[in-house]
Amino acid sequence: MVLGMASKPAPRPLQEPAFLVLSALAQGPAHGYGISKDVEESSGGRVTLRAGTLYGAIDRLVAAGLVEVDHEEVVDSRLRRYYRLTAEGGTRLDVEARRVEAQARQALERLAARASRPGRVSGGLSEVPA
Amino acid sequence: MSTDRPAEAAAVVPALARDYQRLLRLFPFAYRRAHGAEMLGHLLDATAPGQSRPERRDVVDLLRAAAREWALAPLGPTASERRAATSVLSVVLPALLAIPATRTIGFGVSLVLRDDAPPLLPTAPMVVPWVIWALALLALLAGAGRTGRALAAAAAAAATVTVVALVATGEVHAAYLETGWAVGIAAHAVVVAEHERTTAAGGWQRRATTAAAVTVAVGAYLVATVADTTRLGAPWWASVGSTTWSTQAVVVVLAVIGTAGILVARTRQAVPILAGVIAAVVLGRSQFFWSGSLDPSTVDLGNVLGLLAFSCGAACAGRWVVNRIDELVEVRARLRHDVEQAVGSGTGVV
Repeated sequence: MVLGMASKPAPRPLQEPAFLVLSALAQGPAHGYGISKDVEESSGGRVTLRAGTLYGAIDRLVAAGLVEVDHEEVVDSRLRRYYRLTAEGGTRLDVEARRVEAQARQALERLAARASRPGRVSGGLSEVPA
Repeated sequence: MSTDRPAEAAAVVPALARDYQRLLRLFPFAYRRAHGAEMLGHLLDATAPGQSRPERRDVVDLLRAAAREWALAPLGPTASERRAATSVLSVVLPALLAIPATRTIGFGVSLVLRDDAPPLLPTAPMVVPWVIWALALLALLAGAGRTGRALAAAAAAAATVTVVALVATGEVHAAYLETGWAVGIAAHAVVVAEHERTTAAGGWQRRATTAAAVTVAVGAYLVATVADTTRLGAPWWASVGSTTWSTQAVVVVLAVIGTAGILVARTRQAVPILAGVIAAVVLGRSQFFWSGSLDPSTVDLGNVLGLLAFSCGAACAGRWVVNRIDELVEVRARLRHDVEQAVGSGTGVV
């Protein structure tokens, strides 16, 4: 897989909204409002994707072939268009999640090593500037 | 996840739905057609019980999104069309702009090297924007997307400032001539910004294609003008490529090329922007909009603004035509799909 990807252009790291939208769709097809609710919950309320921003992000993900329309339904006279991850979107989310995970793990390992270094009065996260 | 929605929609105050509909009307028509209904449903789903007016943050978000969509509308109504447009324009626009850039920079260098040279900027006012644009192109070809994007934006700003300065200093005829290229540089900046934002990094094939297109365009210009420059003893960058073609003949040829570009699905989305840029460049070099034959002193600010309006009009008309063709293609594809399904299920079509 790594060798196969080496011949392709390196994918640009996903922006956080796009990552969170893909992550929301990893659970299954969802409509715009469902995605925005999931993004808000999974980010602990830190990221709120309002309608104008959300549909721009979805549009770009659809154009990039990472997301596609699953089906549409009308509930209470309101159109709900459901989106789902494509196979490429799943792969991209997987690659991105592993990249973020590896970076986070490395940062934590370095912090742990820093904290256990001899001669330090205190260590750990309290020394990390905000 | 698929059931993650309100079990039943709360009753919505009619004024709230009306306000949201008004806000959505600020979006371009094609975008509204693609997303308007689902955005309205989303906004209404998200309303709190008893809410009678849109939230301020929703209003700001929608206004910002509408402004973005209008800014990008000439490239296409949705991201898919914009992607198709920028893929072509990121190759064609540099090839088109490389010719005046090469000529102007060549002229500027020749001025700098002369002992008795007049001041550079008053003589070659567009040299600064073109130098910045050339640096942007080199950065993009080298794969430095972010630097290229910043330089392309700087070139667009410099071109705009130059045109405004020319008008302000009374050099309106020069401004009229250069406005078309300023439009081209600005269009390229928008294309680069959108292309770099939405396309994977790397892409050496596209960079190689762009480099080849630029080389061919500049080479073709030099080959086409070498006979005249040699005969007249003029430098290669001089504008001696006089043509016997009338403006009408040039417009007809461009219209034929534009129509062919619209009919080919791969290039269709790029045509509106090219139409706007080429309309501005051709008009700037024709007598059509001049207040009086060949007297440069008769060109005024109205001509410059008229040229810009004509360029916008050409881009909008091109986009309208392309959008309608896209609709027809979509309807045709849907119809074909329905017929195939009907035949496949054995229901038959009479």
